[in-house]
Amino acid sequence: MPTDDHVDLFAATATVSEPPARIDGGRPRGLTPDGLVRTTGWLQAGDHPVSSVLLAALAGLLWALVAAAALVTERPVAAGVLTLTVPVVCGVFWWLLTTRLRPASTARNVGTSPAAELEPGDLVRLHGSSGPVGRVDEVVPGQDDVRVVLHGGQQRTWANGDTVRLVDLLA
Amino acid sequence: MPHPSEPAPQPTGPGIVRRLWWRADQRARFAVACLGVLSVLGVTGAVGFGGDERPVARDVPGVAVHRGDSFEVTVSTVSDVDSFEGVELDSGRVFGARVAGISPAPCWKSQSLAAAENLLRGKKVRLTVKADGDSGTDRLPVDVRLPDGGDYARAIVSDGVASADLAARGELAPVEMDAKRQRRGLWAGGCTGYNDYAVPTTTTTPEPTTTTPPPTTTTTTTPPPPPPPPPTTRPPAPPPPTLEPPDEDAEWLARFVGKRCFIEGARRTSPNGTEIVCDRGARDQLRWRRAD
Repeated sequence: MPTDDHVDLFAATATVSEPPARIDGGRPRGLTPDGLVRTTGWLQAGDHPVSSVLLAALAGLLWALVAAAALVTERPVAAGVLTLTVPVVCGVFWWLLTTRLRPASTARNVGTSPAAELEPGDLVRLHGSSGPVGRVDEVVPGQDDVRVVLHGGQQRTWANGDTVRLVDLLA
Repeated sequence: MPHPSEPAPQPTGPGIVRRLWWRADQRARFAVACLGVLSVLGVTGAVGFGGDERPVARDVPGVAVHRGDSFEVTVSTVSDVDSFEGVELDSGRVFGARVAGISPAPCWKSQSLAAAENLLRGKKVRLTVKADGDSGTDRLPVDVRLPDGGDYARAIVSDGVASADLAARGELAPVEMDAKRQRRGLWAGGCTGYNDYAVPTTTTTPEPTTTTPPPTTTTTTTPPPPPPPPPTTRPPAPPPPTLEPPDEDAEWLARFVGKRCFIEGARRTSPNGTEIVCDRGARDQLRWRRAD
């Protein structure tokens, strides 16, 4: 380790744990104080995560169509207004929730890796194929399982045969 | 207060439901989401559409109404230019109504139904009952006051959408004459012959002619009947083509058969002598059927 007047070759290596970063190097939107990244979206078509804002708007539209069909005889204007506004309201509400109230990142699953083969710097899903993401700081192989230390200090233990999802953070 | 050297307590993890959701296969998540959306849609539909049937089912004993009663209904279904169903908002009673003074044309069906839906469907109209009846049994003969204060039957007849039933409302005669003169709606030629042959109030029973001998009298090889007819040298003249249109009976029957009627056992006879009867059908509804 270099100092002002000498280099200590036997000093312990100081590792600087970096927080998870977006694929373009920026800070992810859903980074929490414990070092994990909250993510949004649960559906992915090929390599493209389906926007949860779009899904919320679609669900709102379906609901609005049924409600409008029930209302159209008695209140045709209200039925029309409902059909137009509910999808927008649902989409905007979900967008506000995931960007302002409880910020969350968009993540893309890019592949899987055996837990024992994870390397520091990998971004992994902590639970299955969706949900929060952590950055691997250290991998400690054991007899039957693998202990993975994540950025922020949290640890996860997987069995040796388990596979975990690797992700890219997009927003 | 914990000592600074003690490790910070681990934050509580996510709940079991969230972890199950995250761990689920994408297809399973998609299925669960679809199921959730369909459930919400089903509940919404049940609440929205069930509300119409809740107030009064057709099986519920009807409420007696009397000639001259007047109340407002919101029209829910228009079945024909002269018949519709409406719900009285205050009580939730469902009324099947037949508009007095309108005689639907056999042709012009789709146009007349479209005009009726445009004027009535979803609108709050005031009904004035023309005869004693029951809200749960059959269509009540009514006068209909539109939201703008206009009379529905008058508007329909005036636009030439249907003919006037002058037996029920004679005051519509000048309105109908005016529509004919202006050649509005069905009077513009789209319903040729309707005016002359299909309106029951203007038809007369044709008398069988006795001046023309039957065709069999021209043959000379038949055995002579007891009083032999005088020989004739002239073939019988064909009946004049304008005396009776060939499809008169069919047109007349088309106007009635299958339509609702109100007095079980009532009979009517076409200009050509075909008889129809008001009979209760498979759905327990009174309909005109051919008597034979």
